[in-house]
Amino acid sequence: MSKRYLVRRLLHALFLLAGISLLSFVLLELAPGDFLGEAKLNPQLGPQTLAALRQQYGMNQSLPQKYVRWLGSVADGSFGVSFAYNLPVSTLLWPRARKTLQLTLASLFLSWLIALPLGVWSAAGRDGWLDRGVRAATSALVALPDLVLACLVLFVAVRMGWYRSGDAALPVTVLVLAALPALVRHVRSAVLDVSGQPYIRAARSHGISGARLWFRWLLPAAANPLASLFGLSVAGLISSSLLVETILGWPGLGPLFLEAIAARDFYLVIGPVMLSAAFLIAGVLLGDLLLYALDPRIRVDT
Amino acid sequence: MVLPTNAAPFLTVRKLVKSFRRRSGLTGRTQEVQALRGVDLELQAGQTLAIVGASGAGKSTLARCIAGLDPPDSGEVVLGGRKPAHREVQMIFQDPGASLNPRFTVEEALAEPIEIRGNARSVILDRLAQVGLPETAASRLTSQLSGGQKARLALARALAALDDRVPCVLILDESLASLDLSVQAQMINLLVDLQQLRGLAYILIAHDLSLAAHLADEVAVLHAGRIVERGAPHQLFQKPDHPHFQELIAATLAWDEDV
Repeated sequence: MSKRYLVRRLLHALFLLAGISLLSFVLLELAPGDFLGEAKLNPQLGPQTLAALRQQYGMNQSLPQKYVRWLGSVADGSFGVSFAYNLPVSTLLWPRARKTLQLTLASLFLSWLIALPLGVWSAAGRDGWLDRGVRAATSALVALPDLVLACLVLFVAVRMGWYRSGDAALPVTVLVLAALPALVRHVRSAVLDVSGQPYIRAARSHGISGARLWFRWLLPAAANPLASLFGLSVAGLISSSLLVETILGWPGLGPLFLEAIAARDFYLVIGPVMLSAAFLIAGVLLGDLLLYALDPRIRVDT
Repeated sequence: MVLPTNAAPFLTVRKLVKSFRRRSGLTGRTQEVQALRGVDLELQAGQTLAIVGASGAGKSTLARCIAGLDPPDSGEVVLGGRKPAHREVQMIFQDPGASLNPRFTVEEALAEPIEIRGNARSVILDRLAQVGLPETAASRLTSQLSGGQKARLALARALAALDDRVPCVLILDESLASLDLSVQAQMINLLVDLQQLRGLAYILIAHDLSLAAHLADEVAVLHAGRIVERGAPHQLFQKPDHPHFQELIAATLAWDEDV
């Protein structure tokens, strides 16, 4: 691994984060209403009080001014102030982020752990009973929106008396079920794709078969598209996680984010957005490093 | 180059029949395609047999059946009295470059067929030298080689997979067609040298008649899954019997005159 490659990728990630933050600022500013929108209707708050609050929250500054101030707050680690909680965003964000990260990492690990053997097995016995079963099950799961899936799992868990508040098993189950169909199908098609390659046919003609064919030929070649998919699966899990957490009452970023959007708590919206973006970029970077470790051709080119 | 007619054939192909079922995706209807309809062939050790024919005649299917990659529906392939093993019959594919694993080094590519035979790795450098690849190429990735080098490596790998101690058959399934002319000429010289050195028998699948005429001791014309004509190249080309072969020759000549 060349150090320069890593540094280049990290710089690239930093630029990407800057771009995302700028875009989020502009989009949020364009959205109608602000945090004090509802307070205006409160007869107990006079216009002077409102103006004072505006001044205090820095809401009457221009967008560039706000952005620069926010960048300053990023530098000192506070990520701005939440209007609703009157606290630095960071103190609200980190405990929640840890909870979300627990959920996504566990689901990421579990879903790949299940998807890899299942997809390979399905491809190896193409059109057999397992393959047909897997295809039918994944089709059904793919068609189910995360929202419905979460409600279904919740319903079953409550009915069977499995539900305990604060238990990670439920959201992880939903996330794994949501991520699994796409992963299994990709693993399966990657393996099938590779096994049709001329060089695999040539290997077979040389008498290479069994474990050697699988572990030295088929799986390394099939790993390439899957390494890229790994990064994307992180993104998918995070966005599903925000929704699933809210439905199942998991105290992660999801409920906080939703609440912040509803209240137009400007910096508390930006915080989770930036954090999810950072997770996503980290996931993609991890996928690329995986690819780098797996494919000798890339090592030669970079 | 007159065939020793009294010698017992080394490789025999008897009444080979092979058909494929093709299922059309939408209607799910299956359609049977008869690729081989009873092919008989003999080949002597150390000789070259060219199989020519238009595309769709069943040439590649015949090659794959002889190499043991596809099981025939009926009929048999016999080598030395029994079904040939992978270490006795090897095939070089249509695009030799694509038949190499791009993530292997030259050394690894050669080691794969050698290791599963339990042979020593010292054989690798030997094989490289045999096909005229430099020793320094051993550590390069196969995807970094030029087209000509890939063709040489594919040949070296086929040789590595073959057993040194017994007479073997090497099938070239249009393997030279994708190469440019100078590389093609180099490969032909290499193949001729190797035949003398190791006593290899070649089955040359070709649509290029001039190549077949140049290299083969015998030419067999395959048409619609049957051998319609056989003989020494000079006889066949002077006095073709089968109308289909006459057409093939006419087409080749016309093309040659254009060039």
